Parts: sequence; structure tokens; C-alpha cells
Amino acid sequence: MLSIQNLKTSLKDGTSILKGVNITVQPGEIHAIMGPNGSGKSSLFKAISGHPSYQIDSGSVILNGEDILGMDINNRANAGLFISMQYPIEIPGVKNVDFLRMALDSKRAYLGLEKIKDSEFNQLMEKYTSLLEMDDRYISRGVNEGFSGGEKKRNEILQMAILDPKVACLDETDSGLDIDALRIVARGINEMMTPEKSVILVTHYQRLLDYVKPHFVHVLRQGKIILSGGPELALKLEEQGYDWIEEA
Amino acid sequence: MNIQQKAYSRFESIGLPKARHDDWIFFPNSAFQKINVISPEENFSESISKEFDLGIDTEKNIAALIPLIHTRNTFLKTIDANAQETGVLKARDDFSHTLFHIQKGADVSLEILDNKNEHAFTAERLDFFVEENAKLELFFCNPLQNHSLQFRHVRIVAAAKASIKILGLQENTGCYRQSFDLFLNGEDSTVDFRLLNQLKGETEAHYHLTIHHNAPHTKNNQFVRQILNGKSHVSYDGAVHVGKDCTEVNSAQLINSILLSEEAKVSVKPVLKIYHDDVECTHGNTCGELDAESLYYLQSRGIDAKKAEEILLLNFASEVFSDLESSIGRERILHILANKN
Ligand SMILES: Nc1ncnc2c1ncn2[C@@H]1O[C@H](COP(=O)(O)OP(=O)(O)OP(=O)(O)O)[C@@H](O)[C@H]1O
Ligand SMILES: [Mg+2]
Repeated sequence: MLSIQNLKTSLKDGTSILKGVNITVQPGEIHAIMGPNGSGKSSLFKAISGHPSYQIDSGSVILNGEDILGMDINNRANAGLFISMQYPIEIPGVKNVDFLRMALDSKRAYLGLEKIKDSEFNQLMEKYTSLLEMDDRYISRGVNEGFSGGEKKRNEILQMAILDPKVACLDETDSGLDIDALRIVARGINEMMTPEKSVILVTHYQRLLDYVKPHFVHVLRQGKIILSGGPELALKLEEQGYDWIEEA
Repeated sequence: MNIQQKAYSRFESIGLPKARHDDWIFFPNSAFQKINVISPEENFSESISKEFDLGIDTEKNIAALIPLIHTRNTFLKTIDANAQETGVLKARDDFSHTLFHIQKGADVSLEILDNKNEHAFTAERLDFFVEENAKLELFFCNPLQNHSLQFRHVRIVAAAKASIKILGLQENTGCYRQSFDLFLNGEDSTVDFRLLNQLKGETEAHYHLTIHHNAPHTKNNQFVRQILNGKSHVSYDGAVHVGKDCTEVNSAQLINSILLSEEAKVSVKPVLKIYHDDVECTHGNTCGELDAESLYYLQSRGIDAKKAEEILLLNFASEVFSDLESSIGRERILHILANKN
């Protein structure tokens, strides 16, 4: 479970970004956050994951009973939080497969487990690269090195699958995906959903939500959740945009 | 006059560099106090044949002259045409001179080992005459060693289609200056210069590279990176001269530095070029810290901050060599880097 209460954040220069965000995501739930460009969706994910650009002014973020705001970035991840980035960066020189393994072993160390065995790791990789229809380039190349926009997004989902988080926050994972890739990535997300896990999707479009059905939809605007509803809200937003909300 | 005397008389006429001498502008002046040049002994006999012109009469660099003045003998070696050779070069005396004649089509890889003498001042000079179609790889990657003051001068004369590679991993402490005088005298000769400095303490490392494009279709590539800690200081002066009538010359220089401490310093001299229209040249010089977004990305996947930093530093360091074709020097250096942490 993830519970974000009254979260306020600002940049180093004092610019206020999030102005009191409240979201509670129960195990087994899928939430979608929509909202105009610049409303603070990516900032929300980065702030809860510990990105150094965002200063926490107030509020709490509880992941399965633990307040994670005091934790190091890596331990928030190890405790079960995963952020799929809107713009994944490239780290050439570090092989994607080595990176995945390092990440997984970090989590295992955090949980007091020993390093994963070759055979077990290879099986995991095999399972998810075939589920996500990813070829060898994804394995042997540097992290996101020379990947297209869509390939980077798919690689984020591979990381999510391997790391098996409790709460996955996916920032515009659908942007840049072609029609087939969207279907494949959605399959990956649905595959990881179990009654113990939760997903928060940030998206601008209904089409991802056709595949990954949200239980709740929230509208974030100017750093605040201004409206929440069921899946029908996304359809209405798709039709009418955001302008009507203030009038309501 | 033998070489020693010639070198001495040239030295006397140019003298120790004055403060603010253009080629020594970043070098700590106080180090000159350790240098004491005396007239060479009379009874020295000289055996280098006239075919090897060492350029003494026009030499402007004292670091090229001092080893000649004080060395006891020149180590001379010929690599036969089309031979394949690997070897190590190791100076045993404080002052040494080595001359390699690499004949046509030979393929040579040489590791330069450090002079282990911990004396106040050591200086060595390495000359290479590389004939047509020959390949020369020179590399150094010595483990930590302290030099009170060390000069190393490398002079290479390359004939047509000769290919020269110089790879260096520098982690020594102390004060040293390496100069490279590279003459691309034959068409289609190339030089690829890769250097990584990983320094700490009060280390002073100074590099002076001069590439003379004396023939058309010649190429040079310089890729230099440093990761500096403590009060270490690197200077890099890479000058490129392009002769008249030398068309289609290609020159690239890229210098990137990461300073891990406030007191570390890097000085890069703006590239000096004498060129005409038919030279393609690129250069870049950046200085910064590790990329914060990359650090965040790695950590957001569970990797701790220290490890994330190590990964990115190793990445930054390895990139100096990773795009090269496999060679003894490349593999050795990458191996050392990868196994450090
Ligand atoms: N590190 C930062 N430095 C400067 N400004 C920032 C930073 N992070 C966020 N902002 C600003 O905060 C606001 C919210 O940005 P954010 O990226 O969270 O928007 P978003 O809702 O994800 O938008 P989009 O739909 O375009 O992805 C924007 O005005 C943005 O310019
Ligand atoms: Mg965004």
C-alpha cells in the first residue's frame, strides 16, 4: 500500500511544485493520474522516489507502513517502490543485463537474501524478455544506449518486471510506443499485477487505459489533485479536456 | 661532436625555461630547482647512425635534451620488416635514451614501465622511427608510483601509412611532465592518442603534445580524460601544426575532466593550429561533475550512492579506450580499470 498525505514540495530556488497531494493506493488497485503538461505529475513520482531536485516541505509518504521520505533513494527502491521514468536516460558502458542484475542483487541484499544464482537470473530474464518481446540488443547493449524512445520505455518495464516492486509508478510509459508495443507493454503491466501490488499510471491518453483498467482516475493540476473518480472520468477527459473541471 | 655534446650545447643555448615560458606555463616553477645539468663526460663514444635525425639542432624542449646529455648509452633496437613484436621498455638509470627503428610493415606493441628510481629527478627519452605501413602501439599503465620530478619525452617519426597508437593510464603521484613530439611525415599516417589521468594528492601531471602534419591525408585523434581528487593538477597542451600543401588533414581533440574535489585543477591550453582550408578539425573541452540524473537513475533502481558513483566513474574512464580495436594495451588498461573496485 502507498499512502501520500498532504505532500508539498518545492525546487531549490523556492518554486513550489506540489501543493498538498493526497493519494492512497490499496493493494490490488490501479490508479491513473492525468493532468495538463506541467501540472506536476512527473515531479510527484520523482519527489517520492527521492530525486535531489525536490525538497519536501511537508507531508508523508508511507509504503507498506514505512515512511520512506527519510530513506535513501536506493532503499526506497529496495523497499518496493519503482518509478518508470518519462525520459529514461542512457548509461552507455554499463551493460543492460549487468545493470539489471546489480539492481536485483541490491534489492536482495536489502532483504537479507544472497545474490541471485546464474540459472535463476537467466530464467527471469528469459521469461520477461520473451513476455515483452525483447531481443538480444536489450540485453547486451549499454543501458538504454542508442534505444529509441519506445525501446527505452519497454526497457523500463523490463526493469520493473525483474525488480518485482510492490508499488509501480509508471510515468507516461505509453508515450512513444507504437500500437504493438503498447499492447505488449500493457501485457507486462497486467502480468505483474497481483492482489498484493499496486500501480499508478501517469498518462495523457485513454488508449493505455483500454488495456490496463484503472480503478481510480485522478486529475492533477497546478500541484494539486483537483478531481478524482472512476474509469469513466478518463473517458470524459479524453472527450472534453480539462477546462470544464473548474467550472464544475 | 657526439650526441651528448650536441645536446649539451643546444641546452646551453636555450637554457632552463624562464617563468611564464609558453610551453611551461602550467608547470610548477619551483621544480626546476631539482634540475642540475652538467657538461657531459669527454670519453663518451656515440654509436647512433646518421640516418636517425633526432632534431637536436632545432630542439626547443629541455626535456628532450637532458636525457641525451646525461645518459650513459643509447639503447638501440631494430624491429625487422613485417615482424610482430611485443615488449616492455624500462629505464634503469636516472637518465636514459632508447631508440627504436621499426621497419616496414612491422607490428609492435610496447609497454613503457616506470623508472623505479626514487631520485630527485629522472628523465627519459624515447625515439621511434616508424617506417611505411608499420604499426606502433605504446602504452603505459603503471601502478601507483611516486615521482619527485620526472620528465619523459617521446619523439616519433612516422612514414607513409604508419599507424601510431599511444594509450596511457596515469595514476602516479608526484610531479611529472610528459612531452610527445609526433611527426606524421608520410601520407596516410595516423596517430591516436588516448590518455586517462586518475590522480589525487598534490600530484602535478603535465602533458605537452605536438603533432606535425607534414604530409597530406594524415590524421590525429586526441582523447583525454581526467578524474581528479585532492589538490591534483593536470595540464594539457595539444598543439597541431599542419604544413603547407598538406591537404585533407584530419584533427580531433576531446578533453573531459571530472573534478571530485574543490582544490583539484585542470588547465587546458587552447589548441594552437596553423592550418589552411583543407583541414577538418574538431575539438571540445568540458569540465564538470558526475551527471546528477544518471546518479539518480542508478539509485532509483536500488543501487547505493557510492556504487552508483563508482559505476559512472568507471564508465567515464573506460570510454577513453572502449571504442578502440582490441590490442594488448587496450585490454590491459580496461582490465586494470574494471578490477580496481
Ligand atoms: N527540476 C526542475 N527544475 C525546474 N523546474 C522544474 C523541475 N521539475 C519540475 N519543474 C517544473 O515544475 C512543473 C511541473 O513539471 P512536471 O515535469 O512535474 O510536469 P508534468 O505534469 O509531468 O508535465 P508533462 O505532462 O509535460 O510531463 C513544470 O512547470 C516544470 O517546469
Ligand atoms: Mg511528466
